Amino acid sequence: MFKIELDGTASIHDQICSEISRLISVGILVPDEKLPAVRETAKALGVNPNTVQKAYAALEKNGLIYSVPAKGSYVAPGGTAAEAVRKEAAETLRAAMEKAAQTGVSRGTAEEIMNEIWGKKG
Amino acid sequence: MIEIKDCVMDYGDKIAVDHVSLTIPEGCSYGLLGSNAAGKSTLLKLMNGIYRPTGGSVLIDGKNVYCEPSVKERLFFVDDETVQYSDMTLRDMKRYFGRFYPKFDSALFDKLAKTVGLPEGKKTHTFSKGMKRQAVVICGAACKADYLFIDEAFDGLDQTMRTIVKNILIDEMLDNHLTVVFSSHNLSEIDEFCDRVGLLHAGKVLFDRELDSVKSDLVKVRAAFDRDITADDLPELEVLHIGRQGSLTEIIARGGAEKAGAAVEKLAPKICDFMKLSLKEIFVYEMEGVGYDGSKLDEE
Repeated sequence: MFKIELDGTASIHDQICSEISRLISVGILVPDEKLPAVRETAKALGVNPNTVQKAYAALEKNGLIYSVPAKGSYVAPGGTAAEAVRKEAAETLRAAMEKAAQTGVSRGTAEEIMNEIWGKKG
Repeated sequence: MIEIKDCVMDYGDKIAVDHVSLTIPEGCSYGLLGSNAAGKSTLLKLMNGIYRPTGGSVLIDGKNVYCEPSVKERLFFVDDETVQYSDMTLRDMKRYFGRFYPKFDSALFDKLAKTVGLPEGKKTHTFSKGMKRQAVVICGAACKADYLFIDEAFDGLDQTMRTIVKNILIDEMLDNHLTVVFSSHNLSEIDEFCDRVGLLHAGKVLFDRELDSVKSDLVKVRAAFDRDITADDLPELEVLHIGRQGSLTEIIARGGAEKAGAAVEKLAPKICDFMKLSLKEIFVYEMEGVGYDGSKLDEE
């Protein structure tokens, strides 16, 4: 199930959204897989079901999941979900790089990190 | 829907509720926060038609809750005080509430009583405070009311009982559009389970908002500049607090992260970090914003 911290910093809504996108991005949740029902998630986390419902609605709006009336929510098929997650990850990367550049991390260091992660092929 | 319209409760020597107007939508989980003597319990009693307001009115689904008895079978109030049931056993309470609430679920009552292991044949004045509280919460769950009011939220309930109660609330919210109103001075409880919060202070509502919007509106930025920055340097933002800690400037402002980020970036900070505010900090600053000292909010 999802990992949520109830320490009052990030909102529960945002945590559910980012946790589900994370699970999709690493392939734990696969296309057309059924997500836990709102009821189940709310009970497991001990949180308000309205919040879970809103989080699912936000994920659906961003194209990560789709819902079937009276059946539940599913991971979007055909790489749509993965694409949406990649887009989000790219934005996070950009923010991190901007911050790195501001704090004086050199291009060389950045390239070293990139080489470490992607290998030298790309 | 609960509509509190310009409600006043004047006890003669003290105005406990002072011109409060508040709307709580159906299906909402509402958290009423405030320090002791802020007026939370009085407001709950007004919403339940226990007190007649000295001014204004409370409507539930359009009906005046004090004047129309038919509304009452749709409400249940888990009072923090339980003396009114001292002379009853758990069995008596089951019979008593079963008579008033048309949707009373006897099987659920028995199941819950068994789960927590309360004695059925002992009068509740022999119970500990926690046991009394459990007894009333069990009644509240079994009555299957459309509106449930819980004074002092999950106080006196252990972790197991909290989980059981929450699960019942979740089912009722999803299946029957239950509206639940908690009062509490415990911010983390409200944070977990409410989608809307109202903050009461000295009988007045300081604010009433969606919890998510509260959390995404206020931002805390910690940045370092090469000069002193004041609120005048950030005309685009509503700055609630600006202070220095060594070479760092801490800014608390309204308007969301994006807007605040753009405004601060303009001043070319050497570093700029967004910090997340806890719900407690949010309340402290929101209260300061309307001229109150919010730092004592979470204290007993």
